[in-house]
Amino acid sequence: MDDAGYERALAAHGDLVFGYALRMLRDPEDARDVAQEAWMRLWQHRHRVEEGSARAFVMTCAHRLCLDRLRARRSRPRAAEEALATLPENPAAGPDRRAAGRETARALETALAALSPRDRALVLLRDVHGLPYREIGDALGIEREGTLKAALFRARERLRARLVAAGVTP
Amino acid sequence: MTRRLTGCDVARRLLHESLERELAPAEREQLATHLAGCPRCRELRDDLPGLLAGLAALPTPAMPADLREEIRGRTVDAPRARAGRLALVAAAAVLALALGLWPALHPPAAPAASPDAVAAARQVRVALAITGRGLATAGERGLALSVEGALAPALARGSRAALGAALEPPAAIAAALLRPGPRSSPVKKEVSP
Repeated sequence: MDDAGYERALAAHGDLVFGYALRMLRDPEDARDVAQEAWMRLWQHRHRVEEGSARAFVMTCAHRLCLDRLRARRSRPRAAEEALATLPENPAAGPDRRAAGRETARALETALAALSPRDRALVLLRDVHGLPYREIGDALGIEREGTLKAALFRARERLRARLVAAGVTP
Repeated sequence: MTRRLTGCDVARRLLHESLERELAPAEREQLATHLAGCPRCRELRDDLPGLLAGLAALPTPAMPADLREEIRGRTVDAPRARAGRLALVAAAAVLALALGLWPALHPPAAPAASPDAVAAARQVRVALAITGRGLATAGERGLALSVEGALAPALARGSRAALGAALEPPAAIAAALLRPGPRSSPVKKEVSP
């Protein structure tokens, strides 16, 4: 990948990497650090990474960096309400739908934040960001698609169970 | 120890799978049979589409503009990258200037060149061949370094003939090398590219 390819990757996937780190860490400053480090690593290895694999590479970096921060407990999870205030509403939704979906979205964000990092990563990468199973497997270090799907399905059901427990109908 | 799959396990997997692909007839029948007798799995069936739709509708937070600029400043817009671009332009300008001035400065048909000049010319030509590959494959920083490295031997020797040979096509090189040097001795007229 040349420098122009790197620029295109940053333009196309910059939000994805930052948004993923923000939801994983629930801390904008940590999310900034992780996103910056992930993009620096792609820059350092750009000559060995095809442009088509840039997203998988940078998301793998971002995921590992998030786990490092979570494991080291350097990242102190913010209070749910404070963290939620940093997340935007869906600009594609109209005012009515936005208002109606706000409570559901907040409930989803709260339930996501309460999942284990692995479950949260699975649901975020697949159901929020729509990444293909191959890239998710690379990022999470899960080789077999069957294993990955089974883990994803269980993560979804744990998320649903939290919503139901909170009195929210998905 | 592997847990034995129950009817609910299979039905739940099929429920998730059904949201991503069309189930085979046998799988649909198996699922329908299970759902008919399992209210908990029916609840999951009712909830899953809404859950996935809600997750898909969650917006992706935008990367802050200042962070994007910071990253660009440390990568594509870094001073070294800019210097690399300038080096590329400078190298092209030097090359064009040298090619343009060469005929005026060096009339053809000199009879012989010194062995040092021949050796230096060969070194520079090899170095510039590497530089050419660098132009095609390396980044701008690599280009700047390789141009510098290619020209260093000729500049160190102060050999105008050698530098000129590196910049000229093979026929012109042969002509240039025929001029006598300070310690002239007969040399072969052929020059390796």
